[in-house]
Amino acid sequence: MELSRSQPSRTQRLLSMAILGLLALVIAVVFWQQGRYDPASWGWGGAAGGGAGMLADLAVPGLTPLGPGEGFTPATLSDKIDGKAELYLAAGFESMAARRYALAGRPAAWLELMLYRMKDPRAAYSVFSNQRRAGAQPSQLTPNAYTTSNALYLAQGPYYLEAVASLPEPGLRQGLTQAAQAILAKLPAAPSAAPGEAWLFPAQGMKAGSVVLLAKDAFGMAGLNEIFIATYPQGGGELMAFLARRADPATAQKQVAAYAAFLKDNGGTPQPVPAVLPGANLVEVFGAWELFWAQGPYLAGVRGAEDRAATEALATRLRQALEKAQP
Amino acid sequence: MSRDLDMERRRFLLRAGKAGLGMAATLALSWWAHDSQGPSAGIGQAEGVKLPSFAVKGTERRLAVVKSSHRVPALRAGLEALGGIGAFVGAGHKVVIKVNAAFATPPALGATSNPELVAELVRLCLKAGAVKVVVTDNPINDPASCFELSGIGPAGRAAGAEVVLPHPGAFRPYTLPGGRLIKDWPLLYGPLAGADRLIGLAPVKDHHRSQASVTMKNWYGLLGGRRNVFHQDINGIISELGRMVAPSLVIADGVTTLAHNGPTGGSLEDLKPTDTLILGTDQVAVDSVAVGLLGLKPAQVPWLGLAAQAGAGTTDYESLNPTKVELG
Repeated sequence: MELSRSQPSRTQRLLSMAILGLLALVIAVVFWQQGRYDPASWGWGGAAGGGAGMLADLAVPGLTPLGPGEGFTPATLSDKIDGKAELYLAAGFESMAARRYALAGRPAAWLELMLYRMKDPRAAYSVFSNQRRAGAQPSQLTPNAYTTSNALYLAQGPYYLEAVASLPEPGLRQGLTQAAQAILAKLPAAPSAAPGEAWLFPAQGMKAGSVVLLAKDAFGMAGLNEIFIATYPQGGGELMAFLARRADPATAQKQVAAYAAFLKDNGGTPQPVPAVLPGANLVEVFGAWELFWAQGPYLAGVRGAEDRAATEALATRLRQALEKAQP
Repeated sequence: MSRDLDMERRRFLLRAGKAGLGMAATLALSWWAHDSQGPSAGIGQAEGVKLPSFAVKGTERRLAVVKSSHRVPALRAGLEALGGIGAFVGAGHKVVIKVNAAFATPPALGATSNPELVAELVRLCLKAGAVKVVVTDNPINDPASCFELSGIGPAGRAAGAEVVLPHPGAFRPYTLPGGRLIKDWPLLYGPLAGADRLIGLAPVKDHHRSQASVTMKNWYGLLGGRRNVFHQDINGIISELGRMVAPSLVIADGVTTLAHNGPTGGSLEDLKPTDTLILGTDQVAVDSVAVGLLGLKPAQVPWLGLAAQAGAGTTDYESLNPTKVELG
């Protein structure tokens, strides 16, 4: 019986050396990483840094820049807007440039431009529509633009602009418009009202400017993303229609089932489905009605209404609109 | 054959011994290199600090709600209802007023403490005998711009306060006893060192993450570092802030409320006149009244419940028998 030790093969030797080399590399990286002092993670927080990007050389007639401006990344956006950063990050934020300008000769009368670059036009529309101010006046600058007494907001392609004046006065409002025009001249042209499938909402009876794109966790349900909603005044209250196009009919069906389960888990009671909407789900949630279904690749519905007849009527109109879109 | 077996055993033991020594050496090296304290402060002060209680004995459970559209008379009336400024500030005191100067935005937007209110509070403290009044915050944006553009800096200085901006030397490591989040974290301690009284003065605001930002969230401005990591547990951090600070007094300014698109707002249309100034020594109670201005009930705001559970105060503000003042 031969018990003498066999010598390791060449492959075994090479493998061993590779493993040892990898371990040595891990040790080296750990030492290197520990030795680096990161002032951003300790101390007073410091300035975010970064340049003003597209705003760096923006000249606006009648306005004097107050400093070179700043730039922010996903890691530093909260240094500018604190907790509201999550709204942008969830929608697909890439970068933001900010710069202040004052009326010539009047440093106390100033405005700030914040130009957000989002991942695509849908993301820009999402942050634009989610923050739309009640009572705002539509602006002619772009299809998605409005003004308030001291500010101007617009979405164009993947960009979202917030232009905010320190005072609600005519000179500054004019400055806001001129600044927005100067920025738009630099942006690529982009045809857009509400991007995507939102045009399918029935136009009749829809509240103007009410189409909102919920980027993430719509209606409190984790994973229910990219949902358009539109508001329809009804009697003394409002109906909310919702709509989303998914990759394929199976995905839409799956999300409908998940939403039904979510409502049930949160106190909803399934009810018999109205005959005019075969295949739909009707759920009563503490006195309010939720009517929703999958139609081809679309997930659609009406929610939150206490008037069942009105809920069914709007749902029927939405279903017909979808049928026309994909006969 | 026996000899061969013996040789194999010896070789095995030798190799096992070498492997054991190698592992022991690796462990010893790791132990030697391990930094149990985490990264050094790098701010000139490695030693942690304790935050004393600034609560004034005998003023517990005081709460006043003043209805008025004018801040200065509302502040005077509210303080009077709590026993007068003299109940909180006395001769020789050093008073720190922790404002919300988070953003470099104009006062009209309501995202920061109102400068008129700051100035009046400074004047009242000095009149009550304070030898020094410090106005401070660690803003989200550039501190100098925030204090100037919000109007807080000029107003505070004009009223006689020292406006202290954060700088690296003002921070010291702090650990909240029993805290889950605030551990060995940079605290804006410089302005608080040697202070006798601490007053929080915050606007009532909508907040995208926490639903509401009032006096407890205002203590976020005492933290340094990459504090935005706490946004992932916003309810937890606000309740810990409520435990971290035992203030002398807190004031929630809901004369105008930032009701939409908070905490930054931006448009005057985000504001709502709510004509209410809330003052008290129980910050949970003050914030519980304040969230009502945003259309919320205390039970709908998780951080209020967490703070109350942790013993920072009560959400049942009516149990404090608040003094209600109508100024018209």
